[in-house]
Amino acid sequence: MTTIRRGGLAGPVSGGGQASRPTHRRTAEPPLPADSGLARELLDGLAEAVVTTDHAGMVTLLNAMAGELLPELAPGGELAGCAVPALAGAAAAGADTFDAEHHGRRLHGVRRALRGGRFAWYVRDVTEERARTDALLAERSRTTFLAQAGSRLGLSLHREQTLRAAATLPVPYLADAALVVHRPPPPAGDAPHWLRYAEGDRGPTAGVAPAGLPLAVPGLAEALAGDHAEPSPWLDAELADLGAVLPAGFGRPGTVLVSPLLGAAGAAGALVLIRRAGRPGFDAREIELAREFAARAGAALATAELYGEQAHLARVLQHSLMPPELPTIGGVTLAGGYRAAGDSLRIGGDFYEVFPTADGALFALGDVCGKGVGAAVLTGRVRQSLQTLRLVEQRPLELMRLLNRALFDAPDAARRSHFTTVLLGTLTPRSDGGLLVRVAGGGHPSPLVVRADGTVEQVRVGGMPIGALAAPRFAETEVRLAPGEVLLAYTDGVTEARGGAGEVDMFGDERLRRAVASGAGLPPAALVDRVLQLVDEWLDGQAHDDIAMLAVRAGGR
Amino acid sequence: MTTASPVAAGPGAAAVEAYLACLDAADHPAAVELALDLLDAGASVADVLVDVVAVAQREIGLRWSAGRWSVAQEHAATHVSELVVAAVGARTTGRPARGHVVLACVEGEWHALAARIVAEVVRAAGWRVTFLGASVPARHLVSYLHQTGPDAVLLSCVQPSRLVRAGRTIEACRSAGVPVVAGGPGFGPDGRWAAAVGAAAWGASARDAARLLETDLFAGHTGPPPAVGGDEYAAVLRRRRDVVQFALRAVAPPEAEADQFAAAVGHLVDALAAAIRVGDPQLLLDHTTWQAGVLAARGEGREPLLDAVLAACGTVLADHPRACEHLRWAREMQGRAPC
Repeated sequence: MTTIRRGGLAGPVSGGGQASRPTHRRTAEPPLPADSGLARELLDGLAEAVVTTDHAGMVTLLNAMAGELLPELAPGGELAGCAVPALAGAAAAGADTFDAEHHGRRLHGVRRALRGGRFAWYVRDVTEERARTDALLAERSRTTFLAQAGSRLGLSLHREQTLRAAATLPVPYLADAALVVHRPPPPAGDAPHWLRYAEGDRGPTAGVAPAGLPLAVPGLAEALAGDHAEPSPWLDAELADLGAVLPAGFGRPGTVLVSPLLGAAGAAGALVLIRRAGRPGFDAREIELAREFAARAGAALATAELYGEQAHLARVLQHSLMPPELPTIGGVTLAGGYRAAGDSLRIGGDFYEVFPTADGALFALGDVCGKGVGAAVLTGRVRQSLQTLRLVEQRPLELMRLLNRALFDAPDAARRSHFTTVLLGTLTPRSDGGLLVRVAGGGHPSPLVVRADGTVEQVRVGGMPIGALAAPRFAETEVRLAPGEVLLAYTDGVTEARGGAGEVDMFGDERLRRAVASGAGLPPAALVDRVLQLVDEWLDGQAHDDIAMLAVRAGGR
Repeated sequence: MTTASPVAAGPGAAAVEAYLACLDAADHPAAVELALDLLDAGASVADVLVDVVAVAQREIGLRWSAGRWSVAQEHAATHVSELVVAAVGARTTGRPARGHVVLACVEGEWHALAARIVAEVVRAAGWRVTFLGASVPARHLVSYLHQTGPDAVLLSCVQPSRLVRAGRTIEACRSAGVPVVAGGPGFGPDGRWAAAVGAAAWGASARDAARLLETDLFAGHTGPPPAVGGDEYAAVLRRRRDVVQFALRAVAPPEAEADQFAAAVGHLVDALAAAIRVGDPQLLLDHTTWQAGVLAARGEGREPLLDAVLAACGTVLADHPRACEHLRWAREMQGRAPC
């Protein structure tokens, strides 16, 4: 019978750390009783299997737990040849540990050297311990996955980007390929679209779903219709005829899980997770995770769709308010410049227009005072009225009066809180290459003229703002430009830009005059850019009002 | 697209000389004709715009900074080149086969020609390109990104002093889920500061931009940007106005030059903040060396001005250790006594 050393036993049972306990203390302890029956009882009472071998590697002793965990072993057999492959391998290789799945249990064994070339193996059943660790790790990775997915899904407010994230994120963690089937917003047709991302793809691939797709995948038609609120796994790959939307060489799908993407107004689409035939199916926790992910993706998609609608509305409004492309007018070179005040919708109350006429052009530059959508709507009305009225009247002063009447008579009172300043003028090229400018003023800052010799003059026009007063007076004046001379009309956003060293000083008339003088001789587009640049540098990132400029040069390009 | 090297097959030095002559005369029809003739002769959009127009524009810049050309001449020449870029771009027809790319110049940056060239070269490579123009505020850019969901943003920054703003713009793009390819010398020699401000990649030329878009930009280049080494740069920027006013009082420049002087001091503070942001004092030194050059070109006896400004910065920013370190180093390297 082999003697058992307490130190050797105590070590593995209560953790490897104690195996290195100093040995000199043992000499002071009382000697063990020479009672092999007691030793046997102690051995059999252990929760750990104990197997010892002699110097030749033959099994010499097995305790009760060894009989339970490793029933194949018997004393006298060679351990390296036993029917527990992992243990046999470890014994043959002289390894100090082994791990095995044996009879449905997970075993972990540690070897200790005994005197005389003998060895003891201590083998523990770690099935539950490992299961707990695995569950903890799985939970942790699920939480990480959801956290990352949540933050990626929250990044973009754009529908297409959100769909891409929804298709990309579940691969490879949840599936080998992910398919998002969705109905694009109008004006796209009724056919659902799809977006696929499979492991190894560089990026998502998109397409229009073949007519039969929703019916080919069980549960997809229901999920798209919003009827089916719970994800359902389909193990029978024959039912999931997805060949048309999977990458070539993906093979037959093993398991398919369909989850609805629930948006603001019911189902926004469906998420189809596809696993290859070799991969295990979705367990209950993974189905739960897929549902959670699909819920987040659906919410992100709903946000993106709502934002898209709002942004579309804003864009339509913005588009109608943005400065137009300037027409080409013979004998005149034109350039416009525009900087909307610092709101992200870029809707402003400043505007300019140039309309070709029989003998030249009609131009307008104006500023609707006030901010926000109210001012923007009024700007639209001013421009619309101008569009129409110029068809019946092209003399600046008369047109100004008509425009004032049209705005003043408009049936809502809100306009009275906003007044509009405007310059209206005609451009008539002369045979000598010069230009006759007749300009009427409605309370607007005076335009500047850059003469051929580089001097800058102010053109005093005068007049009162339009649309707010019952009996306003307007004025008109005439300017002649020699070939190459430039007239620059601007809104007060230029001169009232606050910045500079003190950050509160206005850009002012004098600085504008100097800026324009320094740009004498430049083409109108370069002159406008130069002034915009100087104002921008003056502002140095501070908020500003709308800025609009229109430059007119006598003579073509 | 032509893949042969530009020297061997593309338009050569003779084309650049001829083009410069057109710019010198501000003759835009001739410049456009020259560019379109090169295209007809088999040159690619990149050959014409990168190897002729961009090269000529660099020469214009040199002539201006050497005082040989006036601002007006430079502007007129740039205007001609813009018309040429538009004319060359009009030759790119057909539906774009690749994704959508948005191109913008960092806020405060008004030299849009280089970006315009990038736009046309990338468009010729098959991308749908939206050029948002010069000096694009970050919030306008981000609102555009949310509305259109492009694949990438190309951000141009020419002056390193705009790097803090470029960083904020990149941060905003990343949080909108769009990776940013940086371009231009503002991101440092060989783009060495591009990664520090969160860019996915950096390109020196329009050809680089087209090539970089081919690579997988999405891996790790959206979401939160890389950690910044402290926020001292932000504290320095908050004192910008104080520095400018202190420098104005200390130096008392003539009335007519006060605005320009104040703007220059502001840029110096921007460069200092950018240097702290990317952790490279060389950025500040490059800026002061450049300013010293500009001062020297404008007349004799202005060199001490720069040192006085640096000293003023040091006085106002005494509580900011890294700012002081950078300023001291810049003054030493400029050949002045340490503060």
